[in-house]
Amino acid sequence: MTSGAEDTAPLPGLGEPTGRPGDPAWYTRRFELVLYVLAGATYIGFGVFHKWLLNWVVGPIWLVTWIWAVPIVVDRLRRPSTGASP
Amino acid sequence: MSWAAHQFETYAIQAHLPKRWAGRISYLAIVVGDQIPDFVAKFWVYGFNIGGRHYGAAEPFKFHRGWPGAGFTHSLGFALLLAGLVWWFTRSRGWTAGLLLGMAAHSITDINDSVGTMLAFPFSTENFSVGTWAYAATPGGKYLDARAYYSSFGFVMDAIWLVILLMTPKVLSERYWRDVIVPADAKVWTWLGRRFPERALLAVYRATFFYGLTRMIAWTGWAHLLDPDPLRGWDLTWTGPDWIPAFTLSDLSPWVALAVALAFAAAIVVSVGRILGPAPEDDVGPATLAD
Repeated sequence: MTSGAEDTAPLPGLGEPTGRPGDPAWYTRRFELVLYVLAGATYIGFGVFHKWLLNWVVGPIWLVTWIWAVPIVVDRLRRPSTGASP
Repeated sequence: MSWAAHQFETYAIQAHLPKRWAGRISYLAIVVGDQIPDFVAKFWVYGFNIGGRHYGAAEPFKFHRGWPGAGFTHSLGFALLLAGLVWWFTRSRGWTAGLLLGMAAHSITDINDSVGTMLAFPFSTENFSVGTWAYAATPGGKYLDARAYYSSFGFVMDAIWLVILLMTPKVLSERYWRDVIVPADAKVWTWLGRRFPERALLAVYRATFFYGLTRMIAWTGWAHLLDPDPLRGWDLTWTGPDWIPAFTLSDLSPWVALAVALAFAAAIVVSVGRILGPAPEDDVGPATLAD
């Protein structure tokens, strides 16, 4: 993370990579937005049937896990195929 | 008691801080301060069952908000005491001020239910309530409480806080997090940044909003769409819903409660101003995760 002049630069468009350190090159802001929506939909979906999930510990962990772990999993799944290509 | 309002109000406060305070108050401390009043008492309010036996408060509203009980957690005295302890141990102006703001927000929002809060403790053990909706926590547990809250003006209160928050959507943006939130809590975010990628840190910052919004949708959807009860539906009347007894601990006028809440808020704002002191004249620029 940086400050100063770079902070005033416009953020990447929805279809562009986030440009953050640690994010895969294919990880776009649109993909991230979809992750947020999916995290919310699954949390509500599971929560209404398993109400013990609806608490202030599980809720935040649910979101952070989606945003943190899904790109890692997708990256692992993509790696073998990209590695095999010339 | 209030539900998602306690999540939304943290961002609303953060977004509407005076310019001279922005970037100097820890948002994480606001969240912690907003959680503390219920964190201390809530598990015993609903209680739990082991072997068919219920453990918990016999009269949850008295335990949660009364004296003797845990009502002191929603008060000026407790907020100042805890903030004083944090200052004593950490010397962090940002955390001390943030805790005060968070605890004050929680205590003031909760004057809206019929039981209200002991804002003036330890000077008084009187509860101050506006009575906007019925306090509905019972030994029966959380479901009935949720159904009552999300059938009453409690739902409206959550929605109002959500609208206030969404009027300043920049507070949830990545840039705002970088420029305002991180510098106010550089040590914590730097520590987290060594362990997690930035996208996870940003999700941590947004997690309180996520939890507030999803719990509001989930409980409202459950109460009115998934498992509607024809005898326990919407009732947007003052101190509703009328299908549950509205517990009270005081007969004071709502106007007195409002006046005390305003005085309480003023005392907190003055205290935060004193804690932060004047704005630094030479701005050296925001701290960063790389610092």
